[in-house]
Amino acid sequence: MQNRNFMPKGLFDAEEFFKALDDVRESRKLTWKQVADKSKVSASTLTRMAQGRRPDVDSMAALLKWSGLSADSFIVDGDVTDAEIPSPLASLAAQFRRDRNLPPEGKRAIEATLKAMYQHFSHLGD
Amino acid sequence: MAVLRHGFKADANGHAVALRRELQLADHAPLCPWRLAKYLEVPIVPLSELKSCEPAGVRYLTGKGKSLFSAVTIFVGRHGCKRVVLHNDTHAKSRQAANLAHELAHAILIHPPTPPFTADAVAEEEAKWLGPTLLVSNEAALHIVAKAMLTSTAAELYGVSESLLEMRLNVSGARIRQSRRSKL
Repeated sequence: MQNRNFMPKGLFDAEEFFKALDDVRESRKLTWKQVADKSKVSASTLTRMAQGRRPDVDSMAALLKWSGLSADSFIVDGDVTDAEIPSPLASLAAQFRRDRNLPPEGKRAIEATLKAMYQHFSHLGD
Repeated sequence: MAVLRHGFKADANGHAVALRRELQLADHAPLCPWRLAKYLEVPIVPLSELKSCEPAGVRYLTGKGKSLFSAVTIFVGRHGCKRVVLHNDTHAKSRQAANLAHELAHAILIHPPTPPFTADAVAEEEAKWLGPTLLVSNEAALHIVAKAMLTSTAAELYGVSESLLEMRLNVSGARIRQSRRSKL
């Protein structure tokens, strides 16, 4: 019997797969809703995939078929963790909904809070 | 103001109905944005939770500057594309619901991040439409009008403000459709 500790570990890089799907979507000038309709994969599944969730087998098969991508391209050795390539704080990006023109102290408070949040919750990407 | 693409409003209601069905809810049922966030695996963080990390900023945004901050999506992860929503939990519950629905609309439409303090006008317009539609679908609006519910009763039932509810009853065409039905 093979020792499980010595088995090569191949992992599916779901984030890279989602990025590649986005490239295909853009090249075909489609919205994500159209991707959902054409691939028969629910929009909520696509949203969860954008959140890093691995797709179930049926959804993955449907998306591979729709996109023409190959699953092999996204199999990587070892662990894929966000810790390998940490997102720098400078790249913090946000969709920010403003209620009105912000006074400087409001902007400072929001920036400080966002930075604190980013630092506090960056582990969610792990 | 950016113009919504043709068919977007129908797509938005399609999302509102599809998500209800996935959550085993009727097409006209109220949809709790906190439950929806959990379903979509989008973490929701109340501003008050950051009190110990950033006391001054949080104190300002929950006090004097309370009206300046509703909600924001930040992006974390290896590719910087995993969303986490921070929202002002000192606002009225109905406003929190609208704020969360707006951020979840961005998530459902998988809008890409924009730099802080900027916005993609089209993406904002889409989220402005989809957010309220998630909370009060066209079917919900028709149901409210058909049952002749008081605005205050319906707003409480759907967990939204009366102004959001009125807006949805108007723009969904529910009132016009109901009056046509009653003339038949």
